Amino acid sequence: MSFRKRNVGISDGRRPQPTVPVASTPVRLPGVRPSAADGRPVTSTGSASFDGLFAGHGGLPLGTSILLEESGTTDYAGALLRFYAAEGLMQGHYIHVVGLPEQWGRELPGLASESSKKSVETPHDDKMKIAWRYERLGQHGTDMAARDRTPVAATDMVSVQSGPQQTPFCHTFDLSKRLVHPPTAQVKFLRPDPNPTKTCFASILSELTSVVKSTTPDTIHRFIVPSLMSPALYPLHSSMPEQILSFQHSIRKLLAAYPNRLTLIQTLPLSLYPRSSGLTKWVELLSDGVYELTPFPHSADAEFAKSRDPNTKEEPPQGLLRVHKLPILHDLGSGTPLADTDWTFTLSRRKFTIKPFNLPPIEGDTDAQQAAPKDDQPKKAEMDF
Amino acid sequence: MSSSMPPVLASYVQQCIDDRSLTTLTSVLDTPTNWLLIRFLVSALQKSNHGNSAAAAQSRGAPANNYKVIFVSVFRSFDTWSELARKCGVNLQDAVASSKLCYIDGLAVGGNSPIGAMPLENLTLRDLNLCLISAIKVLSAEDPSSKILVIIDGIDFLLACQPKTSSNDIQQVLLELQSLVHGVVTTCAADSALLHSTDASATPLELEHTTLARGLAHQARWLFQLRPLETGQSKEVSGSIRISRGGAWESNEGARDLVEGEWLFHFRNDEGVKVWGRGEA
Repeated sequence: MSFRKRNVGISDGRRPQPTVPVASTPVRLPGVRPSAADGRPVTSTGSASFDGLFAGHGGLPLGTSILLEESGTTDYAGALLRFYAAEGLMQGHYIHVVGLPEQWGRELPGLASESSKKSVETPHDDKMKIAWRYERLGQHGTDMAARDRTPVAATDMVSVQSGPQQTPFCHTFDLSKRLVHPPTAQVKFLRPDPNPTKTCFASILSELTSVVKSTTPDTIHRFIVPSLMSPALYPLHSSMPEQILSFQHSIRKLLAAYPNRLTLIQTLPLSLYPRSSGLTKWVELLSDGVYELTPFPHSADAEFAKSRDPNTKEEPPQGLLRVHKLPILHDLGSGTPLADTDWTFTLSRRKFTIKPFNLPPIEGDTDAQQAAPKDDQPKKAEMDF
Repeated sequence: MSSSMPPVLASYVQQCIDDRSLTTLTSVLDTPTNWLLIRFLVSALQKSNHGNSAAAAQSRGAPANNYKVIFVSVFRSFDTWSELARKCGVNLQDAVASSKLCYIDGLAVGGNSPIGAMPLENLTLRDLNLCLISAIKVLSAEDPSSKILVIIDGIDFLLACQPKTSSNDIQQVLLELQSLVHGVVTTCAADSALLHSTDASATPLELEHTTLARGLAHQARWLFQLRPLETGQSKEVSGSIRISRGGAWESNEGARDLVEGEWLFHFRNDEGVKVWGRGEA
């Protein structure tokens, strides 16, 4: 049992602090707010919990790129990409998707309805009474739910100041619903060039550059590059170092040329390109933030669930999320370092939750623990002082 | 020396700038050399700021100590460097405008690099070399007595993204460069994934990188190695810095009392950098 405060959530770091803004945007752009740490513009990834993992900035800083690595055959990183795209659509950002069919755009998660949100908040009746004086503090579970939403509530107020219509900084999405695209939605699907004699990313890059160039300075663009170098989506020669690294470098060029208008999330299958390979390391070095998702094997998952208190409605964690590099913090030193590098994630229907990683107490052994004293304890008479 | 320089490092950085030598800084993924590299740049520029008194000294016949810097950034933006330099009290834009600094931009595409920066259109060693030579010509034509310091960030990336470039080519270019200018400071990634050479399964990219990293260590007079704590992440410590003598160290230089050592460092933009020994408060 440690003495660390357990009720400190990961959203804690983004409490607005009175700091001098570094780069203040005169016009408030949709879905963009100043960072709580140093005032640089940040945007939401579509998952409030993931927004909390950006070194106290409270969102993905504009002009940065994120690499999500995932091992195994699961697609948790893909779910984060869906949230990221859906959030962009709700904020009126331009979305550019590389390598995926247009079908993907039609299957983005829809907005969670208000009523379903409320049902989560209502405390369950079969609660155990511990002490009446603690009652006003509320249930543990609802506390968590409320805390998850605090950043949303805070940003609501920010957007109220900025304009008449209330658009929250981060929406809540429901994976079981389909997003109704707003009429102004701008989603582009870009295909890599299959011709092996050419660089397969050249056409994508020229298109991206021309679109960004042709739009007005108040438009925000989101780039989505799923399963980098995976043979399912890209031609085989895309994994040659000169091709993929030149692409990564060109992406950095774009981000540097339009520092306050673009963000990028790309995912990488670690089973194909392990972290111990030099190529993966270079892709990491050219990204501003690096996060690794390691899903737990299924059996361990079930065991984990069994060991937990069946009364809590918390879902068991589905995997480990490790933070290898944070945008802005490691390059510029601005922001607050996270308390830990290891986190667990849970993907439920409605949200992607990230919590600090801690092992539960071993509970399976209680019988042995209780039985042991009876048999083995020496009788008083036998004890020789 | 500015107050942004940690006192422990000041004399080392000073000597690296004063000596005619190559200095290598190595980094790992989450401990980039940005903050250290910008302090080399700032130290050299601030020496150059004393240029007025140096010019006066020169008129009296004393040798000038006027520094000019060529800064090559292969994959980091000018905004990053200028934000870091601003915290050290130097405006890079002004330095470029007053031609104390020549910035060679590996990310030049839009209009965000400073006016007067040289774009590196093709990411090849040949282009970089041509760019450097023309920059040296321009700077030495303006003031032949000035000392030129070349700082290159990310030269190892040219090796990774160009299959035809070998580590020998890069070392060759650096040797030639050393004969042309006063000093060279370069960075190199030292992640373990890039440095397994004994492995039979190592890819050409990894092998070449290993050779380059070794070569740079042998060519350098001083090595600055940044790496994270082995015991895991901490809020109070960003990582450790080890300063050691490289292969170009000459034993008859013993008169200088700089010793090899390892310190911990903490890098926060608001507070600057703190460097201290293990066990010290």
